[in-house]
Amino acid sequence: MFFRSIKFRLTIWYLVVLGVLLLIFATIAYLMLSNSLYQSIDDSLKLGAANMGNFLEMEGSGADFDNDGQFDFGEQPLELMLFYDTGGNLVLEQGWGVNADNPQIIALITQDLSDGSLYTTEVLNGREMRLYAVPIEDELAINGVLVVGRSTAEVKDVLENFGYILLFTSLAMIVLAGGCGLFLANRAFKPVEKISRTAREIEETDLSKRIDVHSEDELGRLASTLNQMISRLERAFGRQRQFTADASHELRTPLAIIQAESTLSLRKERKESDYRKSLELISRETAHMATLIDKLLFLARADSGKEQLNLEVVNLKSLITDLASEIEVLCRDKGLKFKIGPLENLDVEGDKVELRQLFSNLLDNAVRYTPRGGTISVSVERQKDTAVIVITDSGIGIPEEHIGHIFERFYRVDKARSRADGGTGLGLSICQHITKKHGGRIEVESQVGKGSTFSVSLPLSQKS
Amino acid sequence: MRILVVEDERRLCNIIKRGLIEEGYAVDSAYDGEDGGYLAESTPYDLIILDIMLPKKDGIEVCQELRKKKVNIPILMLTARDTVEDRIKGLDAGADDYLVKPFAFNELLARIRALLRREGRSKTPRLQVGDLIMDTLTREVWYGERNIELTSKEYVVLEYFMRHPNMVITRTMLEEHAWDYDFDSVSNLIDVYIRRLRRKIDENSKTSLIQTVRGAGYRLRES
Repeated sequence: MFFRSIKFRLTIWYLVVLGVLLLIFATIAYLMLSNSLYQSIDDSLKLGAANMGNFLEMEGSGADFDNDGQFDFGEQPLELMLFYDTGGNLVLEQGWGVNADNPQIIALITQDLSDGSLYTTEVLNGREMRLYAVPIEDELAINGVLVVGRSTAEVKDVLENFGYILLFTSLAMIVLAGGCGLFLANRAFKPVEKISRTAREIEETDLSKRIDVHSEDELGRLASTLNQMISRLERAFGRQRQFTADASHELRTPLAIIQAESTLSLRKERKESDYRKSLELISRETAHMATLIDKLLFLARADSGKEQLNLEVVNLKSLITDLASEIEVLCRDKGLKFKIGPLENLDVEGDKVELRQLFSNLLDNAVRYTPRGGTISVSVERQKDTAVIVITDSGIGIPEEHIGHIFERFYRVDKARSRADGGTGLGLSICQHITKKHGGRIEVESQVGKGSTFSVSLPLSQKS
Repeated sequence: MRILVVEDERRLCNIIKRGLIEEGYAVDSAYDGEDGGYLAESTPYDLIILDIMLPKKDGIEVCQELRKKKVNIPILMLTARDTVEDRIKGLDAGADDYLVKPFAFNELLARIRALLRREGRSKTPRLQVGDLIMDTLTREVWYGERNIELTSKEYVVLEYFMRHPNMVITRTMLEEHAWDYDFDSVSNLIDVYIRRLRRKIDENSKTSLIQTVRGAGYRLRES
């Protein structure tokens, strides 16, 4: 788990990069130091050789050294000095004991004569020496080859120490950087842990939890985006739960009435008229339930988003005229005046069955909520590119605080009254759904005691 | 036995009321939580049938408030909510029983009988005071070997006496437990019922089982 985490991988990558950089740095530093140290040896050899050349010139070839063979190199850091004459004979030998006829040196001086001065590194008697050979040609006839040398052990020691220092400091830096990196990554990813812990805790039944990350960085923004998403889900689930609870309550109520009435009726022998009353009540409730189920199914299909519209050109004038004949019967029955206003000959594109249901619901409502002696009117008029259907009643009206809610499912202004009148509480949400689906708008204006006006605007058909 | 039905669905409320009256209970009804709570506080009902989803104040709240005010009338919750959580919530709010809609009327009646029994001394549907026996299931009354035919209201009045033997029962108590609010208390209807009961139970006996306690009311003797 840990080894797959971004934290770990990030740290590893970071260490690899750091390691490579350190390696490059160390190599360059090492090479530069090594170069400069060897350069300083060479410089000192060259200087020493020049001094020795001068000395030899002054003393001549017959220069005499101390008999004990010691030559005071003085300040010059030379450890070896050999002087051969042109014949290749060792004329002068001083310093640390090296066989004068050492083949490597012989090879050096024979080669040297033709090419001018030459540096070389040779292992003499198991000791690495830096050698410098230079021909000395003098008018005073001290001709020959001077070879000076110096041990590289000191330089090697310094370089070795430097190498170790580089290695250990690099390792220490990598370990330290790894620790710091992991710590920082941990810190940076703490919000991620929080986010995933909260996400794990969130269940369908409890969406009230929110991620507790408040920062201005990327993770803070991610957390607030997720929180917004959870809020939306919570609202959606809440609506769904409410709808299910409402639907089950609405379906159980008629069922409860049917069940209670039938079991009560069956408890003992009754008069025929009592049975008739019971059956009438049961039949009314059954019809109410059937309507309710139809409407619930309509909304369920609407929610699933899989419904199909049978689009055709619908003439509003004939649709409303057709409906009006049915509504007129209801109005006469209830003692209401039914007025048909201007009906313009307008076409819209839509599903005829649904549009019929839309206006039938609205007209039904108007009849339901208008007391005896009231008036209901309907009109169809053109406004720019839309057809506006207005249905007005002189009914009980809708109190202002309810107007914003009347299109919600199962919302009722007066629950008891609506149910007693056979309302399901779904009619207006179905109306709104149908209107929206047809690209239209539905609006309502109402005054308590004076009546309500519903206006539906639908886009006119382009085909006519 | 007087029962309060609080149910906002008027048609259902009326069916319950009709069925309970038919069973000889005195029934009052309320259509919202506020009215229901008020009635329950001001009248000594023997039982309350309470819906949960009510306008103005829900049944859970009504129940909790009644219990807080030490109103210990048995409460039967009647509701369309049937999840385990809802039932637990209802019972924890102080309800004595819980019945989910839709329900069979017989079950409602059986649960009412069970709740009323719980309040009394007898744990069986049979009430007995001396030689007087009442079967609350079949609604038959026996005095020794003799079966006594009673009308529904007579039965209700006698039932109240039998649930409270040897206790002085005032006219107000009878009024409150055997009649609903539509009853006009000015009339001497209670005395009429007592007279009828005495005639039917005592028959030719010289002493009456239902004694008059002067200035107070009546009492049902144990023997």
